[in-house]
Amino acid sequence: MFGQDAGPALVVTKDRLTRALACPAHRWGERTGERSGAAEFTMPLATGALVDVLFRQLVTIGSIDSPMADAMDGLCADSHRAPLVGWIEGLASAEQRELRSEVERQADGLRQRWPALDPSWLPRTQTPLRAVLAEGHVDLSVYVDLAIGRPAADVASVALVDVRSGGRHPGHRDDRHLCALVEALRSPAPPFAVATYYTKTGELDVDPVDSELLAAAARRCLVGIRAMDSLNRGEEPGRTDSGSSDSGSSDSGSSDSGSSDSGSCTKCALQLSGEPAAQTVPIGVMPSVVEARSESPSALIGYAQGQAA
Amino acid sequence: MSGRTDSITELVRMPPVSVVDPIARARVRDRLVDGVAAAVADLPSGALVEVTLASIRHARSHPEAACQSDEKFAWKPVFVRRSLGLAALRACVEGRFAGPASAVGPVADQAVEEWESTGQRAYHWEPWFSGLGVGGRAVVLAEATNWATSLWATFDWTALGSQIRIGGMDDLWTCPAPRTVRLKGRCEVRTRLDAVVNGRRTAGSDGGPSALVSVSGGVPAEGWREDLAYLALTAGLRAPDRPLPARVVGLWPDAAVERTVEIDEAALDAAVDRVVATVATVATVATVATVATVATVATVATVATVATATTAAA
Repeated sequence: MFGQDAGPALVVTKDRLTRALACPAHRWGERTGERSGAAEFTMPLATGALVDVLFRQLVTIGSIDSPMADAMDGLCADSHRAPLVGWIEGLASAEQRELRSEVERQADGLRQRWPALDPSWLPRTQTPLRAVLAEGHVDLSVYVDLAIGRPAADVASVALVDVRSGGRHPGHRDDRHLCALVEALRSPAPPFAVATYYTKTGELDVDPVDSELLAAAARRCLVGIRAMDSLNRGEEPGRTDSGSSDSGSSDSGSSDSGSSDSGSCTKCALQLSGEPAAQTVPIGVMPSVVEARSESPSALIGYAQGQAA
Repeated sequence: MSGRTDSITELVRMPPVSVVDPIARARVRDRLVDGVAAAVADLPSGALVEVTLASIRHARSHPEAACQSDEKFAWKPVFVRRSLGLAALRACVEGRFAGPASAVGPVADQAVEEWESTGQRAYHWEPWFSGLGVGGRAVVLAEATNWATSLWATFDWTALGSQIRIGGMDDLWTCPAPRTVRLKGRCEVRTRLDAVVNGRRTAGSDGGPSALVSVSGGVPAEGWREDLAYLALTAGLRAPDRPLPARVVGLWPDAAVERTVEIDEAALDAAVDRVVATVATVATVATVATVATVATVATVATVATVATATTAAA
């Protein structure tokens, strides 16, 4: 697939992989730069960014004082978030009230549901995970919002949690499985569980990691890499043989960041006679949030404690 | 402890594989001085070039931008995480805290308190950190926790005992060239290597060879061997009377990868070639620039400083 002159590594993120596995028009749009350009801020994206900061704060210092003020402080600490900060500050007062209300509601949920994490579990937030494959031609790069457990060589001892401020979406399961795959590739032992926590509802979807899960994630990843490589070589879009659901994830691994929760691809609906992208999945394990084991954060922490012991 | 932790801990303890004799060491130094002198010959008088691990990597990956930066330095969380993370790690190794997650907050608070009471800044970021709100501080602490945890989980600190130094001063050496060329090396941990006496392995002595540990973001790039050897080269140049570091271990926590270079003459030669190439790249870019003034070249130092902070943070 990759020749001697393949050039820079193909960087595979959650979002790029999802888009590569989406419908042809969606992928071609990616290729021709339809999605590029200036960031388009939305209320869900702003909510996601603010809740991300609050989740990180809660894990790190154990408390949230004033949700909106704390979250804005967190965003302001880094100049690269200045455009988003400016956008939030420029909202009309009614929209600002709406945003504040949602952030405070989700912060309340975090405070009520998330237990304090023992430092000995080595909690890390917004952790980058990288795995380089194919002699450096492919770079799998994901972020997880929370990792707990000491990495070990001979036992699965790490749990990974993605945090989402929007609603459930089948693509979230693909995202957390990709995280499991990257962790399994980079570390001697795979994680024992991957989870998605929904700050809006307090639900936690947990998947114990086994070889079947990793194999399916690897197949999906391989199909996506082939699609991305085709696009990079300028090939016309064609129907993907394998893949998964469309959209709904972010490169940063942060909570939603404004992605659509509906799972529909408006581009496909308009341009492909309404055929949903998700139907391109042939693997036979079409993700379904119904199948995911729903837990509470405390249950996951207890599970992690048991693994550590 | 896990097998991986044990094996990496052994890497920074096991006796040296090779020794560089004083004659070879002097030859390497002469090669470096000659190479650098030739590379900077066309630079204007008074020019300053600072070479760091970050600038070496930058010159290799983006040679056309080797001395271009209009970015004004401003503190951000990733610039703090290394120094705060190292201080937290030291506190954990000393047994004052159970792990980085509980150490970073008190360590940062203590640094701010000392700055407020004495006016002395141990880390430089104290005024900026103290001016942040709760949320901003939490981001800084989270970054430092991540950084320190990656190191904390890598080694068996009990097994390393007292044979370690965490952080410490950078290795600085100024090349006796027609223009000022300063080499700066920075590692995160130094360990004293074990020795073999009468066929038996024993703890190394104070003046014995050491291993350096360097932490980087991302994944190992092409040239990682020379990059790691550069740290040993700089340490050896700074302290010519002390043994050269015998080994450099590079850690890339994002990729959970470690790489090791045993320091022999060939490794040092490769590092010298890389330094000379870096200086030549910087000099060429500065000379070709429309206004190759002293000020332009001097920005290299700024670039290197910012890049160092960025890389260290990353």
